[in-house]
Amino acid sequence: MGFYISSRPNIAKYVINVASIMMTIPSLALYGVMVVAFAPFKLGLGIVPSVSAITIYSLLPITRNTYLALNQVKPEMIEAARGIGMSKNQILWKIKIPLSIPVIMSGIRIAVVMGVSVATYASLIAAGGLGYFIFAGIGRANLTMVLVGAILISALGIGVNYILLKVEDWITPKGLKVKR
Amino acid sequence: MNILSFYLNNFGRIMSALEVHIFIFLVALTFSTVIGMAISIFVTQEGREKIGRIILSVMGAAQSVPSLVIIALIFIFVGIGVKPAIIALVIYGLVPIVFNATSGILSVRPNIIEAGKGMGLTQNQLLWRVKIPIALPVIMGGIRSSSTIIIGSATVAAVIGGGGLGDFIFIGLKLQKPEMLITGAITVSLLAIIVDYIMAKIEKKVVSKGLQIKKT
Amino acid sequence: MIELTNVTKKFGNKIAVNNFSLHIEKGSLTMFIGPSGCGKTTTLRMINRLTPFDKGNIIVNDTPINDVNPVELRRNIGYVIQEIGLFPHLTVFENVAIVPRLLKWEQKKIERRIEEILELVTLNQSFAQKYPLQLSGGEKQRVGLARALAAEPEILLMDEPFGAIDPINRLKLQDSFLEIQEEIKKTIVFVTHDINEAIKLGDKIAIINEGNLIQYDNVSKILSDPANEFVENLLGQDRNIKALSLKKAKDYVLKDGFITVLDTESRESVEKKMKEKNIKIAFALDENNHLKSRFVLEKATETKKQKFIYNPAPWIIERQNNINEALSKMLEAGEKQLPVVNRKKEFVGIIKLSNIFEEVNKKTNIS
Repeated sequence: MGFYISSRPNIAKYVINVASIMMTIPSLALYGVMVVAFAPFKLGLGIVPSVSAITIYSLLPITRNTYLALNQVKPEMIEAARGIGMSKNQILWKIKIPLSIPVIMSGIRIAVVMGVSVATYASLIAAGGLGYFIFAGIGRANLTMVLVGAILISALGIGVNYILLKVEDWITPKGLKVKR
Repeated sequence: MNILSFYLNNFGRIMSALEVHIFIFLVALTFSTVIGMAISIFVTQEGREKIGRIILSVMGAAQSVPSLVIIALIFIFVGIGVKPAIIALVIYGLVPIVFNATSGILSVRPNIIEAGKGMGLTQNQLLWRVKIPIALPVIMGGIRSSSTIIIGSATVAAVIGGGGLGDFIFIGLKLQKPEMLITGAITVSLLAIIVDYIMAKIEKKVVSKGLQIKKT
Repeated sequence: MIELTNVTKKFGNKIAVNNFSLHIEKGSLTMFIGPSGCGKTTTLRMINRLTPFDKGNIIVNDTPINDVNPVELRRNIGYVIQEIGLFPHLTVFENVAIVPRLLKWEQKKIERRIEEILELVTLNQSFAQKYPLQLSGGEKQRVGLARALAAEPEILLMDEPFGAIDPINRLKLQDSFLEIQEEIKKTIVFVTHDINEAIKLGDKIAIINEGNLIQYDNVSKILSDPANEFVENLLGQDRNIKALSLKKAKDYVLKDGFITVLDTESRESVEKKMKEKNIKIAFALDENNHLKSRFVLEKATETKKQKFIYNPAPWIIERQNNINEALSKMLEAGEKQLPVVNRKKEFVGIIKLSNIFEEVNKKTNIS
């Protein structure tokens, strides 16, 4: 989506505005809405609404960051690329995307972290997951259970974030990382 | 229709939940901002840049911990009720503020600081008249995302008795009452959007015009 | 007055400044020049205590600087750096007003001072409310200079202030800087790595290499008598021509041989005046003394005289141009005489090719 709107500034403005507003909506609220939205199809409980809520929520930062990243590429670089005879496609793949990787990747990272966070609510509608330990633990005043849940979830969140940071580091062109 | 009639029938309850929600939000944001700024100012003083960088990576990692975890930990160590909920939100709300304020202050260009020192500004003057005003757009960004996060997490904090609009969502989920759930969700979403809008306006107002102009 | 005595500074094991002694006179413009890493900037920064020194002593206005609170010291020493470091969140006015405000001047006095100082650095008063991001490089540098001068410090430290400016604007800034210094007579220490800038601006030059002071003398003395091979190489092959550049256009300005008229005057009346006084050239000025056009009486035939208008006058020499620059302008214009203006573009007189040639002849005879 980010790629699509990056060359269509008119639509982009709306999409980015909507995405920004959507991102301020609390995840639990969006989650609740999803559950209800899927209820008529007898899918109100379980995996489907969870997965769709997470997907929608994750779309936002990825779209937004991809768009912003592609647009921040300096016009003189694109001009230079055009000057040496690159096609539109080549400019996208050889210039714009490599230069945008840090920002795009951080969008993906935000999305994944948010996904982990939203997934903790899944247990509320019987989709299971680590959130179960916490919600059930709080409900039963079982401190050990809550603690186990908390540790596992944060380990997952931090771990995934760390791995993605490594991936980001790995695929970012070296020239962008050199410190002056 | 269900939703509308639920709204009308329970208007009083919704409003009082909204009040609680706003109250919790305001208290938590105030504490987060004050404590967060204090921490950031402390770690960015000259000679402590190393601590600043460590704090930045810690905060970076902390941002990837779901709010539910903090709420759970507070539940374990503090208990149940509004106060524990607020404590959890203050801690969670600190993260973006400290992250942004620290990186904002640390990234003020060295030549500007050099010029300030050369003119005879004291460390304090340098901080309040130069570093913080220049970092203000980033700092305000942190406070803005902190308010979004606090409002969102406050709904989750309902599980440990924080009250507020989260109650509607949790109870609605548990009792399979979609109209109740949707009411809570929509109200809290509107709150979040409006607060974010107000924060954007404040940001525009307090940030120096000199930092908002685009280079010609 | 600044006095450095046996000053030494080490960074780790590396000696940055080695047993450095130097006496800088009040009201003089001293250039520090040397290759990068030679210790010139370090020495400069020691004078306002931005860099502490290990051994020796530095005295500013009869007081050892280590006896003065560094913040106090710096408020009385103007400081200009290459990157300028204007505060982007403050307007030009607020930037320039910083030190006066720190010194608790009255608002009225500050306003008056800023008006005066913007005038001094030839910035229009409308700049006061602009923000640094709205300024060009040269304008920023002028504001940087204004900010450093705002609280009327006696001493000014400048660290490659024009280093980031394009060559054409750098020459202009140098010219107007020289005129400003002529007016304010501050004690200035100016770091540069450009030998031409050092020769053009300096009263005295201190040549520094690897932390040691190699030679410290008047510019003409250094040009005619380099202390060693290092200095010779630094000056370059063409030091005789460089010596010529020590002569400024302002020293050759003539105040007679022409008349000035208002640019609103009719041609007939100008022509009449010129004939009455038997003068062949007239400059038309506006009410601000800015040069608008020029009238020249020329013999077209044996008997009949005619005039022609020259508007706007494209070839102008600045007072601070050295005679190399003046000469090349004349050759390019194909004129035997050209008008001279100061940094405010006010007409001050004319300069004649014949006078410059006399000087060139003298020079070449000496060397």
